[in-house]
Amino acid sequence: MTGKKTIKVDYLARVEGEGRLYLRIRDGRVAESRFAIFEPPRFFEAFLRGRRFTEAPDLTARICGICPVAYQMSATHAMEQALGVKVEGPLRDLRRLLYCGEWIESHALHVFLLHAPDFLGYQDAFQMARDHPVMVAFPSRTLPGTMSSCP
Amino acid sequence: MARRPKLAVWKFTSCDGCQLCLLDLEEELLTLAEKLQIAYFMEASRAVARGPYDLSLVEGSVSTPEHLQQIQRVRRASRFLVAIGTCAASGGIQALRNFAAVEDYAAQVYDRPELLKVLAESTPVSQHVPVDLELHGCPPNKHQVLDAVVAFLHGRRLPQESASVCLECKRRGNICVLTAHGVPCLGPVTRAGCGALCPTYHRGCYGCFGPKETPNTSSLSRWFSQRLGQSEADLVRAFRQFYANAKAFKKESEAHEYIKGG
Repeated sequence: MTGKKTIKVDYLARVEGEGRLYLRIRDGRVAESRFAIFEPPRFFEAFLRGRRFTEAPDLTARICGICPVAYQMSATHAMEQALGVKVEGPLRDLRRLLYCGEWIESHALHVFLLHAPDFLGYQDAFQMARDHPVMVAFPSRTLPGTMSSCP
Repeated sequence: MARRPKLAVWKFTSCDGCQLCLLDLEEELLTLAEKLQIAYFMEASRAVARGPYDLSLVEGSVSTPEHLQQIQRVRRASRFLVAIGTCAASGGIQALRNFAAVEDYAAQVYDRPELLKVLAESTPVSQHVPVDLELHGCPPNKHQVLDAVVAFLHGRRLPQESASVCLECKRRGNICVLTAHGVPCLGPVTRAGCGALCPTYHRGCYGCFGPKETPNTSSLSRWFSQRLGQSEADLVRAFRQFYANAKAFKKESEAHEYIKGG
Protein backbone atom coordinates (compact mmCIF):
# COMPACT_ATOMS: atom_id res chain seq x y z
CA MET A 1 0.00 0.00 0.00
CA THR A 2 1.48 3.30 -1.05
CA GLY A 3 0.42 6.91 -0.82
CA LYS A 4 -0.70 9.23 1.93
CA LYS A 5 -3.81 9.18 4.02
CA THR A 6 -4.99 11.33 6.93
CA ILE A 7 -7.59 10.29 9.45
CA LYS A 8 -8.98 13.11 11.56
CA VAL A 9 -11.70 12.61 14.15
CA ASP A 10 -12.54 15.84 15.97
CA TYR A 11 -14.82 14.25 18.52
CA LEU A 12 -14.69 10.56 19.28
CA ALA A 13 -18.20 9.13 19.36
CA ARG A 14 -19.69 6.42 21.53
CA VAL A 15 -17.23 6.62 24.42
CA GLU A 16 -17.40 8.13 27.89
CA GLY A 17 -15.43 11.34 27.84
CA GLU A 18 -14.16 13.63 25.14
CA GLY A 19 -11.24 13.10 22.80
CA ARG A 20 -9.93 13.69 19.30
CA LEU A 21 -7.65 11.63 17.08
CA TYR A 22 -5.34 12.53 14.24
CA LEU A 23 -3.44 9.94 12.18
CA ARG A 24 -1.18 10.55 9.20
CA ILE A 25 -0.49 7.41 7.25
CA ARG A 26 2.25 7.08 4.68
CA ASP A 27 2.83 3.94 2.60
CA GLY A 28 0.67 1.90 4.90
CA ARG A 29 2.49 2.98 8.05
CA VAL A 30 1.43 5.47 10.67
CA ALA A 31 3.81 8.40 10.29
CA GLU A 32 2.21 10.59 12.89
CA SER A 33 -0.41 9.99 15.54
CA ARG A 34 -1.92 12.51 17.90
CA PHE A 35 -4.55 11.78 20.50
CA ALA A 36 -6.01 14.54 22.65
CA ILE A 37 -8.32 14.21 25.60
CA PHE A 38 -10.11 17.48 26.13
CA GLU A 39 -12.35 16.32 28.93
CA PRO A 40 -12.37 19.25 31.38
CA PRO A 41 -10.83 18.57 34.81
CA ARG A 42 -13.19 18.16 37.76
CA PHE A 43 -10.55 18.01 40.55
CA PHE A 44 -11.81 14.99 42.49
CA GLU A 45 -8.40 14.47 44.11
CA ALA A 46 -8.52 18.02 45.47
CA PHE A 47 -12.08 18.27 46.72
CA LEU A 48 -11.84 14.90 48.48
CA ARG A 49 -9.36 16.46 50.89
CA GLY A 50 -11.02 17.41 54.15
CA ARG A 51 -14.04 15.18 53.58
CA ARG A 52 -14.95 12.34 55.95
CA PHE A 53 -13.68 8.98 54.75
CA THR A 54 -17.25 7.69 54.62
CA GLU A 55 -18.10 10.29 51.95
CA ALA A 56 -15.45 9.18 49.45
CA PRO A 57 -17.42 6.33 47.78
CA ASP A 58 -20.45 8.52 46.95
CA LEU A 59 -18.26 11.32 45.65
CA THR A 60 -15.94 9.19 43.52
CA ALA A 61 -18.91 7.28 42.07
CA ARG A 62 -19.53 10.43 40.02
CA ILE A 63 -16.20 10.20 38.18
CA CYS A 64 -17.85 8.11 35.46
CA GLY A 65 -21.53 7.63 34.75
CA ILE A 66 -20.90 4.41 32.83
CA CYS A 67 -18.80 2.62 35.46
CA PRO A 68 -19.55 4.30 38.83
CA VAL A 69 -19.16 1.09 40.82
CA ALA A 70 -15.50 0.75 39.79
CA TYR A 71 -14.70 4.10 41.40
CA GLN A 72 -16.97 3.54 44.35
CA MET A 73 -15.29 0.21 45.05
CA SER A 74 -11.78 1.63 44.62
CA ALA A 75 -12.54 4.39 47.12
CA THR A 76 -13.95 1.83 49.53
CA HIS A 77 -10.82 -0.32 49.22
CA ALA A 78 -8.58 2.71 49.69
CA MET A 79 -10.37 3.71 52.88
CA GLU A 80 -10.22 0.15 54.20
CA GLN A 81 -6.52 -0.11 53.44
CA ALA A 82 -5.88 3.16 55.22
CA LEU A 83 -7.75 1.88 58.29
CA GLY A 84 -6.31 -1.65 58.12
CA VAL A 85 -9.74 -3.22 57.66
CA LYS A 86 -10.26 -6.47 55.76
CA VAL A 87 -13.72 -7.37 54.53
CA GLU A 88 -14.58 -11.03 54.05
CA GLY A 89 -17.53 -13.40 54.01
CA PRO A 90 -21.00 -12.49 52.75
CA LEU A 91 -20.18 -8.78 52.57
CA ARG A 92 -17.26 -9.49 50.26
CA ASP A 93 -19.53 -11.73 48.15
CA LEU A 94 -22.17 -9.01 47.92
CA ARG A 95 -19.58 -6.54 46.71
CA ARG A 96 -18.39 -9.03 44.12
CA LEU A 97 -21.97 -9.41 42.96
CA LEU A 98 -22.40 -5.64 42.70
CA TYR A 99 -19.18 -5.31 40.72
CA CYS A 100 -20.08 -8.20 38.40
CA GLY A 101 -23.47 -6.60 37.87
CA GLU A 102 -21.79 -3.47 36.66
CA TRP A 103 -19.49 -5.47 34.38
CA ILE A 104 -22.44 -7.16 32.74
CA GLU A 105 -24.26 -3.85 32.40
CA SER A 106 -21.26 -1.96 31.06
CA HIS A 107 -20.21 -4.77 28.70
CA ALA A 108 -23.73 -5.12 27.31
CA LEU A 109 -23.84 -1.36 26.76
CA HIS A 110 -20.49 -1.38 24.97
CA VAL A 111 -21.08 -4.49 22.91
CA PHE A 112 -24.56 -3.69 21.67
CA LEU A 113 -24.95 0.07 21.71
CA LEU A 114 -21.42 1.45 21.42
CA HIS A 115 -19.18 -1.00 19.50
CA ALA A 116 -21.40 -3.31 17.42
CA PRO A 117 -22.44 -0.49 15.04
CA ASP A 118 -18.76 -0.04 14.06
CA PHE A 119 -18.18 -3.71 13.35
CA LEU A 120 -21.38 -4.00 11.33
CA GLY A 121 -20.95 -0.78 9.36
CA TYR A 122 -23.53 1.48 10.99
CA GLN A 123 -23.12 4.96 12.45
CA ASP A 124 -25.08 4.09 15.56
CA ALA A 125 -27.40 1.63 17.27
CA PHE A 126 -30.48 3.41 15.88
CA GLN A 127 -29.45 2.62 12.30
CA MET A 128 -28.40 -0.86 13.34
CA ALA A 129 -31.77 -1.43 15.00
CA ARG A 130 -33.58 -1.05 11.68
CA ASP A 131 -31.89 -4.23 10.42
CA HIS A 132 -31.23 -5.93 13.74
CA PRO A 133 -33.82 -4.69 16.25
CA VAL A 134 -33.12 -7.54 18.63
CA MET A 135 -29.51 -6.32 19.12
CA VAL A 136 -30.70 -3.08 20.67
CA ALA A 137 -33.78 -4.41 22.42
CA PHE A 138 -31.85 -7.51 23.50
CA PRO A 139 -30.80 -6.38 26.96
CA SER A 140 -34.33 -5.75 28.15
CA ARG A 141 -35.64 -9.01 26.73
CA THR A 142 -33.02 -11.40 27.95
CA LEU A 143 -31.22 -9.68 30.82
CA PRO A 144 -33.94 -7.81 32.69
CA GLY A 145 -32.69 -4.73 34.44
CA THR A 146 -29.01 -5.14 33.70
CA MET A 147 -28.83 -2.10 31.46
CA SER A 148 -30.40 0.23 33.97
CA SER A 149 -27.92 2.20 35.99
CA CYS A 150 -30.39 5.00 36.58
CA PRO A 151 -32.83 4.60 39.46
CA MET B 1 -44.72 12.34 6.54
CA ALA B 2 -44.15 15.37 8.74
CA ARG B 3 -40.56 16.30 9.51
CA ARG B 4 -39.37 14.68 12.68
CA PRO B 5 -38.11 17.15 15.32
CA LYS B 6 -34.34 17.15 15.64
CA LEU B 7 -32.81 16.09 18.96
CA ALA B 8 -29.33 17.15 20.07
CA VAL B 9 -27.51 15.99 23.21
CA TRP B 10 -24.56 18.09 24.38
CA LYS B 11 -21.88 17.39 26.94
CA PHE B 12 -20.10 19.99 29.03
CA THR B 13 -18.28 19.16 32.29
CA SER B 14 -19.85 15.93 33.48
CA CYS B 15 -19.53 12.15 33.80
CA ASP B 16 -21.84 11.10 30.90
CA GLY B 17 -24.24 9.53 33.38
CA CYS B 18 -27.22 11.74 32.54
CA GLN B 19 -27.10 11.11 28.78
CA LEU B 20 -26.69 7.45 29.65
CA CYS B 21 -30.23 7.63 31.06
CA LEU B 22 -31.34 7.91 27.42
CA LEU B 23 -29.38 4.83 26.31
CA ASP B 24 -30.76 3.00 29.34
CA LEU B 25 -34.26 3.43 27.94
CA GLU B 26 -33.68 0.41 25.66
CA GLU B 27 -36.89 -0.28 23.70
CA GLU B 28 -38.31 3.16 24.47
CA LEU B 29 -35.11 4.52 22.98
CA LEU B 30 -36.01 2.95 19.64
CA THR B 31 -39.47 4.50 19.79
CA LEU B 32 -37.85 7.87 20.52
CA ALA B 33 -35.54 7.40 17.53
CA GLU B 34 -38.66 6.98 15.38
CA LYS B 35 -40.34 10.11 16.75
CA LEU B 36 -37.23 12.27 16.73
CA GLN B 37 -34.29 12.59 14.42
CA ILE B 38 -31.20 11.93 16.55
CA ALA B 39 -29.25 14.79 15.01
CA TYR B 40 -26.35 15.20 17.43
CA PHE B 41 -25.67 12.71 20.22
CA MET B 42 -21.98 11.82 20.38
CA GLU B 43 -22.31 9.26 23.16
CA ALA B 44 -24.67 7.29 20.94
CA SER B 45 -23.80 8.12 17.36
CA ARG B 46 -21.11 9.39 15.02
CA ALA B 47 -23.79 10.65 12.62
CA VAL B 48 -24.03 14.42 12.88
CA ALA B 49 -26.82 16.49 11.30
CA ARG B 50 -26.55 20.26 11.12
CA GLY B 51 -28.68 22.48 13.33
CA PRO B 52 -30.89 24.21 14.20
CA TYR B 53 -32.20 21.64 16.64
CA ASP B 54 -35.74 21.49 17.98
CA LEU B 55 -34.82 19.94 21.32
CA SER B 56 -31.42 20.18 22.99
CA LEU B 57 -30.55 18.26 26.11
CA VAL B 58 -27.52 19.73 27.82
CA GLU B 59 -25.50 17.67 30.28
CA GLY B 60 -22.69 19.13 32.36
CA SER B 61 -21.63 22.40 33.89
CA VAL B 62 -19.89 25.37 32.33
CA SER B 63 -16.31 25.22 33.59
CA THR B 64 -13.84 26.21 30.85
CA PRO B 65 -13.33 29.38 28.78
CA GLU B 66 -14.32 27.40 25.64
CA HIS B 67 -17.61 26.48 27.25
CA LEU B 68 -18.59 30.14 27.48
CA GLN B 69 -18.81 30.40 23.69
CA GLN B 70 -19.98 26.83 23.21
CA ILE B 71 -23.07 27.27 25.42
CA GLN B 72 -24.04 30.40 23.46
CA ARG B 73 -23.75 28.44 20.19
CA VAL B 74 -25.87 25.61 21.61
CA ARG B 75 -28.52 28.09 22.76
CA ARG B 76 -28.62 29.82 19.38
CA ALA B 77 -28.97 26.49 17.59
CA SER B 78 -31.75 25.21 19.89
CA ARG B 79 -35.45 25.91 19.95
CA PHE B 80 -36.09 24.24 23.33
CA LEU B 81 -33.19 23.73 25.72
CA VAL B 82 -33.32 21.35 28.68
CA ALA B 83 -30.55 21.21 31.28
CA ILE B 84 -30.34 17.60 32.42
CA GLY B 85 -28.85 16.63 35.76
CA THR B 86 -27.11 18.24 38.68
CA CYS B 87 -24.08 19.56 36.77
CA ALA B 88 -26.14 21.38 34.12
CA ALA B 89 -28.77 22.53 36.62
CA SER B 90 -26.49 23.59 39.47
CA GLY B 91 -22.79 23.21 38.67
CA GLY B 92 -22.37 19.66 39.95
CA ILE B 93 -19.94 18.09 42.38
CA GLN B 94 -17.11 19.90 40.57
CA ALA B 95 -18.65 23.16 41.88
CA LEU B 96 -16.95 22.33 45.18
CA ARG B 97 -14.08 24.27 43.66
CA ASN B 98 -16.24 27.40 43.91
CA PHE B 99 -15.44 27.32 47.63
CA ALA B 100 -11.68 27.12 47.06
CA ALA B 101 -9.09 28.73 44.80
CA VAL B 102 -9.06 26.83 41.52
CA GLU B 103 -5.28 27.37 41.20
CA ASP B 104 -4.78 25.50 44.48
CA TYR B 105 -6.99 22.66 43.26
CA ALA B 106 -5.13 22.47 39.95
CA ALA B 107 -1.75 22.39 41.70
CA GLN B 108 -2.90 19.58 43.99
CA VAL B 109 -3.92 17.36 41.08
CA TYR B 110 -1.74 18.15 38.07
CA ASP B 111 2.01 18.23 37.52
CA ARG B 112 1.76 21.13 35.13
CA PRO B 113 -1.35 23.06 36.16
CA GLU B 114 -0.38 25.94 33.89
CA LEU B 115 -1.52 23.81 30.93
CA LEU B 116 -5.10 23.79 32.17
CA LYS B 117 -7.61 26.25 30.84
CA VAL B 118 -10.38 26.37 33.39
CA LEU B 119 -12.73 28.92 34.88
CA ALA B 120 -12.55 29.80 38.57
CA GLU B 121 -16.06 28.41 39.08
CA SER B 122 -18.20 25.57 37.78
CA THR B 123 -21.63 27.01 37.03
CA PRO B 124 -25.07 25.91 35.80
CA VAL B 125 -26.19 26.45 32.22
CA SER B 126 -28.87 28.91 33.39
CA GLN B 127 -26.17 31.28 34.59
CA HIS B 128 -25.12 31.80 30.96
CA VAL B 129 -28.16 31.36 28.72
CA PRO B 130 -31.95 31.10 29.17
CA VAL B 131 -32.97 27.51 29.93
CA ASP B 132 -36.46 26.23 29.11
CA LEU B 133 -36.49 23.37 31.59
CA GLU B 134 -34.21 21.94 34.27
CA LEU B 135 -34.17 18.29 35.27
CA HIS B 136 -32.50 17.73 38.62
CA GLY B 137 -30.71 14.73 40.05
CA CYS B 138 -27.32 13.05 40.00
CA PRO B 139 -28.38 11.36 37.81
CA PRO B 140 -32.02 12.23 37.16
CA ASN B 141 -34.47 9.37 37.13
CA LYS B 142 -34.50 8.07 33.53
CA HIS B 143 -38.30 8.28 33.46
CA GLN B 144 -38.04 12.01 34.16
CA VAL B 145 -35.80 12.39 31.12
CA LEU B 146 -38.26 10.38 29.04
CA ASP B 147 -41.19 12.43 30.41
CA ALA B 148 -39.41 15.64 29.41
CA VAL B 149 -38.90 14.42 25.85
CA VAL B 150 -42.49 13.15 25.58
CA ALA B 151 -43.82 16.45 27.02
CA PHE B 152 -41.82 18.31 24.37
CA LEU B 153 -43.20 16.09 21.60
CA HIS B 154 -46.77 16.79 22.69
CA GLY B 155 -46.25 20.46 23.47
CA ARG B 156 -47.22 19.89 27.07
CA ARG B 157 -45.75 21.56 30.15
CA LEU B 158 -43.86 19.31 32.51
CA PRO B 159 -44.91 19.84 36.12
CA GLN B 160 -41.91 20.62 38.31
CA GLU B 161 -41.38 18.58 41.43
CA SER B 162 -41.80 20.79 44.50
CA ALA B 163 -42.21 18.23 47.29
CA SER B 164 -39.41 16.81 49.42
CA VAL B 165 -37.93 13.33 49.60
CA CYS B 166 -39.94 12.92 52.86
CA LEU B 167 -43.09 12.67 50.80
CA GLU B 168 -41.61 9.80 48.80
CA CYS B 169 -40.63 8.01 52.02
CA LYS B 170 -44.21 8.37 53.27
CA ARG B 171 -45.56 6.99 50.00
CA ARG B 172 -43.27 3.98 50.25
CA GLY B 173 -44.09 3.47 53.91
CA ASN B 174 -40.46 3.90 54.97
CA ILE B 175 -39.60 4.27 58.64
CA CYS B 176 -37.92 7.68 59.01
CA VAL B 177 -34.15 7.16 59.28
CA LEU B 178 -33.73 10.57 60.90
CA THR B 179 -36.33 10.43 63.67
CA ALA B 180 -36.30 6.68 64.32
CA HIS B 181 -32.60 5.86 63.84
CA GLY B 182 -30.81 9.18 64.33
CA VAL B 183 -29.25 9.06 60.84
CA PRO B 184 -28.53 12.53 59.41
CA CYS B 185 -30.82 12.82 56.38
CA LEU B 186 -31.24 15.74 53.99
CA GLY B 187 -34.61 14.34 52.85
CA PRO B 188 -36.69 17.12 54.48
CA VAL B 189 -34.94 19.82 52.39
CA THR B 190 -34.29 17.82 49.21
CA ARG B 191 -36.42 17.76 46.05
CA ALA B 192 -38.36 14.55 45.44
CA GLY B 193 -37.72 12.56 42.26
CA CYS B 194 -35.43 9.68 43.20
CA GLY B 195 -38.18 7.65 44.88
CA ALA B 196 -36.37 8.03 48.23
CA LEU B 197 -33.68 5.65 47.04
CA CYS B 198 -31.22 6.05 49.94
CA PRO B 199 -33.66 6.17 52.89
CA THR B 200 -35.37 3.08 51.48
CA TYR B 201 -32.07 1.29 52.11
CA HIS B 202 -31.70 2.88 55.57
CA ARG B 203 -29.23 5.55 54.48
CA GLY B 204 -29.60 9.26 54.97
CA CYS B 205 -30.36 11.32 51.87
CA TYR B 206 -27.36 13.36 50.75
CA GLY B 207 -29.32 15.81 48.66
CA CYS B 208 -28.33 14.81 45.12
CA PHE B 209 -31.64 16.10 43.69
CA GLY B 210 -31.01 19.56 45.12
CA PRO B 211 -32.99 21.82 47.43
CA LYS B 212 -36.79 21.52 47.34
CA GLU B 213 -39.00 24.57 47.03
CA THR B 214 -38.62 26.77 50.17
CA PRO B 215 -36.39 24.37 52.16
CA ASN B 216 -36.05 25.02 55.88
CA THR B 217 -32.34 24.28 56.03
CA SER B 218 -31.62 26.12 59.28
CA SER B 219 -34.24 24.08 61.15
CA LEU B 220 -32.71 20.85 59.82
CA SER B 221 -29.25 22.05 60.86
CA ARG B 222 -30.56 22.63 64.39
CA TRP B 223 -31.90 19.08 64.41
CA PHE B 224 -28.54 17.72 63.25
CA SER B 225 -26.58 19.66 65.85
CA GLN B 226 -28.91 19.53 68.87
CA ARG B 227 -30.32 16.04 68.54
CA LEU B 228 -27.59 14.22 66.64
CA GLY B 229 -24.61 16.07 68.07
CA GLN B 230 -23.23 17.12 64.70
CA SER B 231 -20.46 19.72 64.66
CA GLU B 232 -20.40 22.91 62.63
CA ALA B 233 -17.88 21.26 60.28
CA ASP B 234 -20.30 18.33 59.81
CA LEU B 235 -23.04 20.79 58.83
CA VAL B 236 -20.80 22.52 56.31
CA ARG B 237 -20.04 19.18 54.65
CA ALA B 238 -23.68 18.04 54.79
CA PHE B 239 -24.83 20.98 52.68
CA ARG B 240 -21.67 21.12 50.60
CA GLN B 241 -22.10 18.05 48.42
CA PHE B 242 -23.73 17.56 45.03
CA TYR B 243 -25.80 20.76 45.24
CA ALA B 244 -23.16 22.81 47.06
CA ASN B 245 -23.65 25.59 44.51
CA ALA B 246 -27.46 25.79 44.85
CA LYS B 247 -28.46 29.00 46.61
CA ALA B 248 -30.23 27.48 49.63
CA PHE B 249 -27.54 24.87 50.34
CA LYS B 250 -24.71 27.30 49.70
CA LYS B 251 -26.17 29.78 52.16
CA GLU B 252 -26.61 27.10 54.82
CA SER B 253 -23.08 25.70 54.44
CA GLU B 254 -21.58 29.18 54.60
CA ALA B 255 -23.59 30.04 57.72
CA HIS B 256 -21.86 27.24 59.60
CA GLU B 257 -18.47 27.92 58.12
CA TYR B 258 -18.31 31.49 59.40
CA ILE B 259 -20.03 31.12 62.77
CA LYS B 260 -16.91 29.62 64.32
CA GLY B 261 -15.08 32.92 64.00
CA GLY B 262 -12.90 31.25 61.34
